[in-house]
Amino acid sequence: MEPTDRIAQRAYRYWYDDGIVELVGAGLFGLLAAYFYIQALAPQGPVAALSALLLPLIVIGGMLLSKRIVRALKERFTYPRTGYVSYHKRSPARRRLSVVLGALVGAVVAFWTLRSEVSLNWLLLIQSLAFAFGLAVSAWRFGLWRFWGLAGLAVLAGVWVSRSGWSIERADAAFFGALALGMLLSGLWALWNYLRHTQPSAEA
Amino acid sequence: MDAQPAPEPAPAAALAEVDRLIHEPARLAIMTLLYTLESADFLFLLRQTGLSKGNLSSHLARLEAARYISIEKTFRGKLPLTICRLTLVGRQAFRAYRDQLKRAVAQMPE
Repeated sequence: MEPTDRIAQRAYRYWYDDGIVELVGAGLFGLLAAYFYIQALAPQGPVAALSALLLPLIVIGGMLLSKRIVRALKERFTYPRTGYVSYHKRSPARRRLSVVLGALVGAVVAFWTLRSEVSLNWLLLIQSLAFAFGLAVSAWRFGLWRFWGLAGLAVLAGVWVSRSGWSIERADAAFFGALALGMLLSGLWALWNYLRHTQPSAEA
Repeated sequence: MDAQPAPEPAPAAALAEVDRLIHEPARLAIMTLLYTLESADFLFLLRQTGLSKGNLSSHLARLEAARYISIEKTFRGKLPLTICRLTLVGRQAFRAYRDQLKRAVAQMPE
């Protein structure tokens, strides 16, 4: 009999089996890469000012839209093939704790970088390590080998852009572009694998 | 006269107390999945447990009869959909079963 912790882990991993989350994530990171590239091309002037207003829209709007797109794609492709699941929502206390911890970490990093006049290179590296850490945690929790690869990619991309000597906009465009490409390939591979091994079912 | 201390329960008694409804491997897999998730449909449970449709239906019926799970039959468009979720009783029973097993395993010889 399969160990119950593996059964539970598979249930969590199911959300990522079809690669849809990575594909939509690739779209979001691609948008961010495009945004930073535009900023790099026109670092000053009205274009830069206008595009600076777009960043919160891209991040917040992108995340909200991504959730809807993922759900719609799963309704269309995943649930008819391998079944529908819903996950427990995090309790309000846990959500508050996440927000507080995130704000605390952000404040510590901001304080440290401002006090120490940390160079751009270090900032880029810290950013890449933060992304890599998030991906590594998911890889470990859900047993997703391809997320370890994405975490490695985040580190490599961070090292690459931090040594490039580029402006922060160009470096961020390259970093998010690399992540977007990695997630696109990873998501496509997962989707191809998923579609290859499953068929739409007549009933659920 | 001093009161006699209560005799220690026989070690096997702890094992005998294990919830046999959950202890069956197929039902344990179903309960584990539903404990992890908020809800899941029949197709998901079918694929994850590897049971036949008839076998899965039978186990779900037993769990529902014991009020460990609730089963809702609905439609997604024109396709029938059977949604299963643990009840509060089922969730408590699963936790109790987990604690029983932990105690039983802790007492096993090396």
